[in-house]
Amino acid sequence: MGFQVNRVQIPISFVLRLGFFIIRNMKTAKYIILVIFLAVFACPGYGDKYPERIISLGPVITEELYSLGAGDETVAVTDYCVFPQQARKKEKVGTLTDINMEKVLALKPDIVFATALTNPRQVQALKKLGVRVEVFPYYRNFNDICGQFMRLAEMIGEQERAKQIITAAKEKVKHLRKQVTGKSPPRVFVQIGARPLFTVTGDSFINDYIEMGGGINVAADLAKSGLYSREEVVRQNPDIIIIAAMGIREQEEEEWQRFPQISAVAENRIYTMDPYRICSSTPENYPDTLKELIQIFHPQPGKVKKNE
Amino acid sequence: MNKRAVRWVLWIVFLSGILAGAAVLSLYVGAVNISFKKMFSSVIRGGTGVEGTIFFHIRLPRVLLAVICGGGLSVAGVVFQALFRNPLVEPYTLGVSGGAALAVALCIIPGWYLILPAAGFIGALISILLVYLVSIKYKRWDMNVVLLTGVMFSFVTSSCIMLVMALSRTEQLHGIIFWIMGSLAESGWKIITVVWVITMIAVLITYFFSYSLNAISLGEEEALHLGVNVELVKKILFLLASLITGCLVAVTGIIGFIGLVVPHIVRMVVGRDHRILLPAAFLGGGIFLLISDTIARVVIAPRELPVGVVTGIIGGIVFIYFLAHQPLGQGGK
Amino acid sequence: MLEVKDLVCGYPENDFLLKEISFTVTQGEILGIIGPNGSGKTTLLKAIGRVIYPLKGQILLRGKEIRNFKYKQLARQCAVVSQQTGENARGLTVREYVLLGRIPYRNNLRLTETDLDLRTAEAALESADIKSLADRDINCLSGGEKQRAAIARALCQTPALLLLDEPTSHLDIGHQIEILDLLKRLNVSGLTVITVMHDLNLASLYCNRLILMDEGGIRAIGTPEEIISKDVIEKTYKTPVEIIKNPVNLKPVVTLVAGE
Repeated sequence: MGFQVNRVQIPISFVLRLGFFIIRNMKTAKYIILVIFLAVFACPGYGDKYPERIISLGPVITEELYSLGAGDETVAVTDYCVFPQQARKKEKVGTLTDINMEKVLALKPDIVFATALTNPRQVQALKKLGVRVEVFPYYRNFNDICGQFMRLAEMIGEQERAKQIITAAKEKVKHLRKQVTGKSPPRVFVQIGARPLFTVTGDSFINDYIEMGGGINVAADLAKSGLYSREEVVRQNPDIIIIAAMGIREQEEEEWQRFPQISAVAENRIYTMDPYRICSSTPENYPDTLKELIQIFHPQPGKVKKNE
Repeated sequence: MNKRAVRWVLWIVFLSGILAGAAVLSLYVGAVNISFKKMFSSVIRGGTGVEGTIFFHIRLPRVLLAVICGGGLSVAGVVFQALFRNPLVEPYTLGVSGGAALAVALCIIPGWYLILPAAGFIGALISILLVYLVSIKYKRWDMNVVLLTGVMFSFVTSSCIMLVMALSRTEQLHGIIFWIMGSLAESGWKIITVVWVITMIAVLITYFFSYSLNAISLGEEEALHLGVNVELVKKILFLLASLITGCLVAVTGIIGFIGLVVPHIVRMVVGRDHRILLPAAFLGGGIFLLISDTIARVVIAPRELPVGVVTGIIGGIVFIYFLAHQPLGQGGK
Repeated sequence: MLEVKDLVCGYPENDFLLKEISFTVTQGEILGIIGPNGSGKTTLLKAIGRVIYPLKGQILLRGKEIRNFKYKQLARQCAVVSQQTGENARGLTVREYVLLGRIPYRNNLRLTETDLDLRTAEAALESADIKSLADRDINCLSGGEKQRAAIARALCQTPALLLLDEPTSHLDIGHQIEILDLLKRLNVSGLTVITVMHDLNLASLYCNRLILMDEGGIRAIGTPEEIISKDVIEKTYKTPVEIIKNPVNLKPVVTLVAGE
């Protein structure tokens, strides 16, 4: 029986004895209290127990956990956590949007990392049942991605490693940005859905990718919904069309051929990208994806990248 | 008619037994199989430890919700089918669920998850009110007009919901779709208690209208000649059944088929007298939903099938079986 | 027993209204309502049965406006066998169907039938002469048997007044006589009967008095001898007839005259 301060258990008997000691020896007690105060409150991580049983409810988090060396502490993931390969062998507790509450409880996790897609009611229910849940909302841009990565690292005690990874990533990104400054930005349309046609809004992070890559998202002025019409695309006349959704690639490529007045169609600059890569960006793979985008937007002369 | 009374009592006992068995099975099965000893001690001392927590805070509420939801929807289905004298009517036909779903969808957008059940219930009440006010133009309340109004209202709310879905972001969209698909999970004890109290009171009041329901099944004019205050009874029963439906939909989402199929199956087995039909439908509905939910939970564990899928498939198959094996002539005894 | 005063009622949306009907029905008689199609016979019966409400005028049952009766009270005094009776009764045995007639006496809180209910039902089954069919499914009965079951159910209400709407229209002559003989027997034991009849000769044979309706109004009230006369019938039904006397009981019989 005791209470917790910074996750250090302080038994009640000790407190009582300390109290009596203080009352009997006021002067020396003052110094002793100061020392104890500093030890307990100011010493970061002293006696802190980092979580040893982690459940990840999102592919990004899973990847990041492994890159921070916490793969062993991860006891369960979702069906969608397929990177890295080792993660596929872990226990599964459900999908991105729906988890099996009983299984999560039965695995006795110290902490559960949830995403913006995790069912909020389930998050609440878990919290009510005494499970520690940390939710990672959608990231908007590269800085967000690094910030969330750092937050994750702090919670599992791997700040040093995280700092290194982030610094390296920021370097790469700076280098890549240098390649595109000064170049005229192509106008890009990113398609993430068909029937109905869906694109990325100005506040989504794919938009951030485009801008970092030195392009302009034709739909950047959209705020809430990504519903778009093909007519509007014709009007906007983008230089590049990127199809970033599974399964619709062939039909959509054919579909776009019906509008040869669009610059992207005429110049044969319709590309596909793996949506997983874009939607699951960690500081480590962000620069690689950015590089690919830059090569699409500003191809090196003689190395025009087509339709991959 | 002692023979008949005895038969009825036997049916109730039999169905209650099956319900209890299904409940125990559902409580046992899951990600962790919980022993009976643990179940018993959890009930007495509240949930402690992993098993206790799972049992007390996840499974027990879920089982209780399944029973009241299956039972309530079936009773509502019986009442609606008798009022409209139409075998295809079920609790969701009249737009109550549409109003609830729309209200919930509108609350998911700004992220107000805490008030979803309340919002759903209010949406349901508004639907009931609208359908009632639009259809009550003459002294005589024409049930055909009510049916039509309800169906139209259903269409309108469906379209509105699709509009909301089209304009929503991905995570909101998921939330809306999953709510609509119906689920018996994640309900706190407070909500379960409220749902049980409201639904049981409504079901019990409905039971006292058994004779009137028997009379109305013969026809409204017939019922009038038998001394039933048909207009008043229609309104009261419509309100009660809609209230039950609204209350349940607000908490569980849309779990279809129960209100349509269970009344028919039970009617084929125990007969048309509402004095036995109502309690048998309640028990039968509870059994049906409980078993469906158990199947939905375990068949592709750790993932879960939406319970509405299981009720639809099983309900359809069982119904066709019963239909095919009926004695020649009209249905049942 | 029943008094109708200046009754105006009907279907205003269809422009069909009864025109100030007035008549009285004495206790213990069999009153027949006859007339051509669309003359308002069923409308009148519906008004008396409280299915439609009078726009003007009064209908008094034993001195009390029927509007002021509680539904159950009215059902204990007046029973109705309409044309739709028996249509929706599926899956019931005859006994169960007849027991429905005890609903006006049923206390909502009591779930099973009282002894009185059961005895009344048995008596009704006997009176209607269908005791042997009591356990059969009602849908398996012939037209005449179904009609008798409907009458038995009405009897279960132990009414003082029985209203019937064309009880014999779909029956063969044997069954027609069966039903009407039954009604006669019941009438002899005290039941007042008002029945809409389409068959003039049966009406003549069995009814004490007749009301002849035409175009929403009463053309004539009187005994069969008074009403069924060549003049009256020809004017009302607009077809040539000849009236002869029934050889057995000397009641007037209408014989039809074919056209070309």
